[in-house]
Amino acid sequence: MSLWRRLKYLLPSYRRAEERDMQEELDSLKELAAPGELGSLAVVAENARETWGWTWLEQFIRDTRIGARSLLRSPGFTVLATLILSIGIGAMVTVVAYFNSIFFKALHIPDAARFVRIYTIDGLARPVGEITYSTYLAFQDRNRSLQEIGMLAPFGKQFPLRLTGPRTLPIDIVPSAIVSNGLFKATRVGMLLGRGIEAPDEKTGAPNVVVLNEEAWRRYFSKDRGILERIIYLDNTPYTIVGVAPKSFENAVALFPGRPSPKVFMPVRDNVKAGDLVDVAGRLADGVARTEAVADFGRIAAQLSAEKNSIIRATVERADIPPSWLVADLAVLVSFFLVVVFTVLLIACDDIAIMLFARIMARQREMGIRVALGGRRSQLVWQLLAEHILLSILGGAGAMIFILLVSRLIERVPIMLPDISRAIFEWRMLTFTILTSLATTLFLALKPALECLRHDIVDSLSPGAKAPNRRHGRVRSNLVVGQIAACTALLVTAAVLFRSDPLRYWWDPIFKTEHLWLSDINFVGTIYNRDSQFEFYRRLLPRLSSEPGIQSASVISVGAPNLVAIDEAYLPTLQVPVVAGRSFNEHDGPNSPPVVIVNAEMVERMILQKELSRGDNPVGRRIGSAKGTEIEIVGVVPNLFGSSRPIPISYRPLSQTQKAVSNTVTVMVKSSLAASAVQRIMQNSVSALDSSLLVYNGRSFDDQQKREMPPFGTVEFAIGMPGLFALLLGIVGTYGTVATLVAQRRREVGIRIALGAHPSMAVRLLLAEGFKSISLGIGLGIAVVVIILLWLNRNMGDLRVFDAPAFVTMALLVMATAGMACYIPAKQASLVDPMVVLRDD
Amino acid sequence: MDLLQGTLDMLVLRTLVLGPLHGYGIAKAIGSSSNDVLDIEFGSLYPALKRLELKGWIDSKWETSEHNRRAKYYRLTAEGKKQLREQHSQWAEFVSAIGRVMGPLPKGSK
Repeated sequence: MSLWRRLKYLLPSYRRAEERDMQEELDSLKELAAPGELGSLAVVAENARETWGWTWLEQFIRDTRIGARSLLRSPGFTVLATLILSIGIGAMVTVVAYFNSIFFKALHIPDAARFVRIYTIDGLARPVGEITYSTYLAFQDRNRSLQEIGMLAPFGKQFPLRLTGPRTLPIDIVPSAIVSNGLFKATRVGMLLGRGIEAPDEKTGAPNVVVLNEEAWRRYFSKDRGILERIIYLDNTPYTIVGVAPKSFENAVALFPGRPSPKVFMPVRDNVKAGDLVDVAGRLADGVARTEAVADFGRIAAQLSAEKNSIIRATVERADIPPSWLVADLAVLVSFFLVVVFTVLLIACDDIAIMLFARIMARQREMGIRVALGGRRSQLVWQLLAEHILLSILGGAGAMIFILLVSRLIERVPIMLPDISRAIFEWRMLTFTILTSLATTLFLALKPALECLRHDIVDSLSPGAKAPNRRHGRVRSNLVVGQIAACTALLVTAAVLFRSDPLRYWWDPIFKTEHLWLSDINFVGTIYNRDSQFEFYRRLLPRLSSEPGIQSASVISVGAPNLVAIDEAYLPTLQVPVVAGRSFNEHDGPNSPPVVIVNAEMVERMILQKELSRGDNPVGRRIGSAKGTEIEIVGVVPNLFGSSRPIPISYRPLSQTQKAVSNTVTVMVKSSLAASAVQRIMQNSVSALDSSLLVYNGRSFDDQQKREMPPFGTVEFAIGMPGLFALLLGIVGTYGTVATLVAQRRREVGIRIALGAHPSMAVRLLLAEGFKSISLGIGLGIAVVVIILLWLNRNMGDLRVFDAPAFVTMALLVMATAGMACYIPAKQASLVDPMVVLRDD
Repeated sequence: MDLLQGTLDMLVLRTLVLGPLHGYGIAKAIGSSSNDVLDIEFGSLYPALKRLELKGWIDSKWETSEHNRRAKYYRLTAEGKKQLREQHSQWAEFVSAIGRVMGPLPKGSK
């Protein structure tokens, strides 16, 4: 009752009625009482109002209004400060959001700490993170430490999805994953709808069922709750929808965030081959510690090594934190990344500090007058703080917009990154943004506010008090130097990193990847059989190659990442030299002996697994395949991928590996034409042969590499991002701070001009001082860059530390921006009428 | 004489038992029934009235006074009566406890 009436008091109409009633009552009582008997009725009324307990709010609203007016009076400051806060806080929140979703993802599954992942470690103790299906089966049968174990084959096919029937127009091409029932059990997530994959679904001959992910449910069925038992067509085969898995299931089962998320989950049957790579996860049995599970899997791995005469090692890691081997691998990058983000935030704080400092000091006189007129100091501090709370709200809102814009921008980047656009609307991210914004502003504003008021009032009121004292001048010019140094350091580092092409780590630079384009052709739902498909290639490739601007064309079928089916034109198109043996030729057909070309890393692995001794020529050797046939190695090619983590790859002739019609084939062409022109030629050539075929998913070879290389691409990208934010902040911040500083010296300039100095003299004076700070800042920044780069070079290798063009360009950019930032306000200051300035005193 | 902390509300409730009164009347009534020992400042009385009204212990209504003037009259609510009974017994206990401690001063003490 009482609370309700107190809340009602917040309604303006109710409050006005109460106020009227109270005034009327007090007036009536005044007439009854003797004059002066009741004391000051204004005080009585004020005391009565406090009964409702909202006076603090009224005070706050009043202070906020005063703050808002004061912000509106200086729109330039307000806009700049909001911009800086938005970028600074937005950048930090974006980075934290990515960091959070990549490295510290909350699994949102019951008892997440007991949900574990199983990784294998290769012969060189390098973790590979992936397990072949046959090894998984052995793990499943023999382990004693897990109550449930399951697997997901992440490199599932991309299926055309049809809703109405086979061979109709597909509505999308969806990535799929094959999942075992144990995975659903191990995660223990509740399904959004229906059920997960269960053991009977995995029996041969069981009806085809599929579980959708949340996104597919939303996108294709608008979250229709009646879709269970509905039939969809994948690969022209009918599948019955039995359930919808929540986002938490995807999160829990995806090993790396960079992989495209499967939209449909299918039960495992004969669709996974012994050599396919799968991700394995499970749940620790009750009372079993993770270390015991490590020992258990170590035992099984040792058995398997003995049986298969190779080296298999396994480890068990918690799934809710990044695996220790990945962390060790990324530690250098991550720490660098944190330093960069921190620097960006420092720049933003520095900007704001300088501007607030200058602004509050400029208002010393106003404060002095207000204190002299009887304003309580604490009240003045509150008013200043209210102004900054407003500023931080503006900054927080700006940061939200910034984050949304950035996440939209990132969606266009050809690297798969976790979607954070929705993450910021999570209450945790929202709270984080608001708190950061508030803390930054208040922390930076409180000190100057208190300092300003501690000042002697008489001092601040005496004429000429506007000129800030020496100590404050020094503090501010140090802030500017620091700011320019940080900006230079980040820009130069970003430029050097950018110029040392990050792809170089993964794709050996001796193979030229520019001018290589890939497109997919969809054969699903067409009348092709294997032979007519090959016939189609034979007609398409010469046709493509003869187009003007196309140098060569090749067909590949990308299966697992370490097995690539290629035609004879693939290696020549990539200009990869065959270092031993021969390339494929037209005689390597379906009926000739099976052959394979391996890369250098594959040879290295064979030596490790004692299938080959060092110095032996691998050409002519036979290796066993999963089906028991022997395949002859006919050639060796260098590792195409970078030196720090080479992947063993086998290349097989397409004509020998493809036994049936292939749903999707990838055509690679070499052309110096633009992407759109290549796409057009591709589409035209295919349509000329068969107008029913769909050409889609056009991309450059580099994009393809980036897509296949998460999470390392993710991390590299994440380092570039703060650099970009720093550039934005640097430009806005340098301009804002220097402009504020110069504007403060209008009075000095006015006096100089009044004393006979030429206006250009004033500009030169201000510029000279400005450039002293700027060059000091740039010098300091370059010193820092050299240290950063030497450190990065030691830890990552292969950086061109003394990259003169990068240094010079970025230093000039900073010099020019900061110079302009000095010049424009200096010019304006020199244009003032000395009379106006002096009259102010 | 200064009032003990928290006793003003109780005095107001007790005064209103006799019948509805306006704000000035309450101050007068407390003054006269204490033989002018308690001089209630209107500046504290009036917020106390608002507070009691907000708690729902008293109720107010515009009425015409004996001098044919309009004034706002406060009266006890049922909840207020209950509160008064409670506070009254607490107060009686408090007074007797203090009384027992204080007692008459022994002879010879100054």
